[in-house]
Amino acid sequence: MASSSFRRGVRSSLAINAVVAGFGVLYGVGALRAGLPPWLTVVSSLIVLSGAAQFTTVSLIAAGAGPAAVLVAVTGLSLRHLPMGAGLSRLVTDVPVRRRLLLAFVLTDETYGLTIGAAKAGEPRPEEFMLGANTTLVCGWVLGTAAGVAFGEVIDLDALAAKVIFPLLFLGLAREAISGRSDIRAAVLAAAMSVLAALVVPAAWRITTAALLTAAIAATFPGRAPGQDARRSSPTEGPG
Amino acid sequence: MSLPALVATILVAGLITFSSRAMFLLRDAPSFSRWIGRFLDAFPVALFVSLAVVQGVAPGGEIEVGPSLAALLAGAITAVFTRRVPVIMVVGWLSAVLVRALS
Repeated sequence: MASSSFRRGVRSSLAINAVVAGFGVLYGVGALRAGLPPWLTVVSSLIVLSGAAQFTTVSLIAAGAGPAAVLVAVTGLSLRHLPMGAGLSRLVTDVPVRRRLLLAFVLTDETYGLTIGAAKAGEPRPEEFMLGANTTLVCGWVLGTAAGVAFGEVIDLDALAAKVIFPLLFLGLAREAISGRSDIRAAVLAAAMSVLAALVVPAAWRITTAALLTAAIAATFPGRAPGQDARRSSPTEGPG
Repeated sequence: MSLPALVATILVAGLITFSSRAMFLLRDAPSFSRWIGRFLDAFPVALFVSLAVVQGVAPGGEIEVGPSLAALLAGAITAVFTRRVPVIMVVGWLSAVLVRALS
């Protein structure tokens, strides 16, 4: 029987899941137009499970790029998973390896953000919460892709929605992760680094570069003003 | 790209994404230095702001003025008052629609 933490994970991800499913549809349509067979399009959503990596892959394939270019781009985008996994590993202590494999398989930006936010809010079983969120998200992404493959010709997605909804989703997840002045400083710095990255870094490496540099600067200069939260407890120090 | 090459590319891409996800998550109770701890504390905000902003910035660094920027600004202002992701998304989306209708 599902635990209450699992159910909270499912509930908290439902609204986001609608967006994820919509983008799954968009991916399904785009992948077909790039020349992927329908079955491989759905399988790619099941085994890659990364919107950023999959959209980049499809764009590169459509542009005529070879496997090496695609895999270099996927590697650049995937580097951000390293600190995501390290951060979550502080929350999921005493969890069996099999369950960790399950958590790792569906570690996405969205479930990472929801789980970190929930842990900061006092969620007692972050791994159960994350499993719930993962379950919803993977269903939405794969079913959305399948819908895009099946009905892509008749689905008319608003281009503006495709352009603004994901940035807004990530903005919301950033807000969930902000809990003090040091986070606000990191947010402002990350915005500046993102603009800077657009000037000097290839597209597939911008997000990873901006996020890693921002976190490195924030860790090196944590700020020491009285009453500030540079010493705020890390998620490992436990909820509540 | 031929079908075998496509299949191999997708499989290796899946392997890359899974490996990057699992590398640290499979370690039981890892101990990190204080610097790494601060880095990991700052990373979520840094990542999500980067994900939100990068898509609105052209390769030359120009920020596109229009519905997308209106959505982000409205979303950011809304985020000052609420942590609820759906509220931030709805206000941002409505702002983008409004700016598109007016322009």
